[in-house]
Amino acid sequence: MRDQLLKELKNQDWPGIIKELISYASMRLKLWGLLKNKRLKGYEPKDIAFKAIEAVFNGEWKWDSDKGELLPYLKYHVVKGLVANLAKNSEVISSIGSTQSNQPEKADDFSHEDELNATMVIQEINESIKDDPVLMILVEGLSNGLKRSDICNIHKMDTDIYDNAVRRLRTKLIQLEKKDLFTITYGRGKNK
Amino acid sequence: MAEGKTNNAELLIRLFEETDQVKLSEKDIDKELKDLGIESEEIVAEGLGKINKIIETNESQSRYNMPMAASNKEELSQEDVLRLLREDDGTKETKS
Repeated sequence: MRDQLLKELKNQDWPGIIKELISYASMRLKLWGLLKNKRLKGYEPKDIAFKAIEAVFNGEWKWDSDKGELLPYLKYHVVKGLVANLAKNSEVISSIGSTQSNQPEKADDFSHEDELNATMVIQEINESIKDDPVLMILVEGLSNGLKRSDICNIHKMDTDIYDNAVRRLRTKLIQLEKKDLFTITYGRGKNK
Repeated sequence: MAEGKTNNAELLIRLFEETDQVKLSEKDIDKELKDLGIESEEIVAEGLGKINKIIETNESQSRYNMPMAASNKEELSQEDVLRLLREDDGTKETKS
């Protein structure tokens, strides 16, 4: 069983997985930070990604190839789980703003302040897509709880056009990541 | 829905998750990492180094364990055990 797992793990496209996983970990850390207005001290995206890979090799997280591919498992189970676990550890949490405490929180427990953070980020996103009508349709549709197929059907949109719009949205989000959103939203980016 | 969980927090998560579903080319991923301040080649080399180390550790453990198991299987027949015990007794007798 162990040998079979190692054989399967050895046969993965590791360069591709490493790159996608680090990009995902970066997004996941940033998203958590945006909502909670906190950061994980001493953890870079690559640390989380490598920790996730190691955890699968060591059997701490048990990937079953019959149930799905490795990359989605690493992203949606291992990385997500590692970030949630780290967020419960008050020793690795640091607040961005002066009014925040360093208390650990439940991963999906959003306070009013979290909602305020999210609102300001959404406003920033809306501002950045105002010249892109397809992206505006997409964001509006998603905010109304519609799925990809719904948005394409309602707006008679080709799925390729939808997917390209999602790629543009991804680029916008990365551009927002590059800026310090806390500076944008709170005007107190220096207050770290 | 958890108490206090409101629409914009959910929407933000939804937007991030939606953008993760789309398939990206290798070139797109490299560009994205570069935008995040990460050099693809360096990070892949570092990651592969770590993975190879884990694989080597696992394989060396397997190499150590497997011949031992094979050896035990071959030698631990009832006859061999009795022979070894007799030899052992003989040694002890010689020593004493």
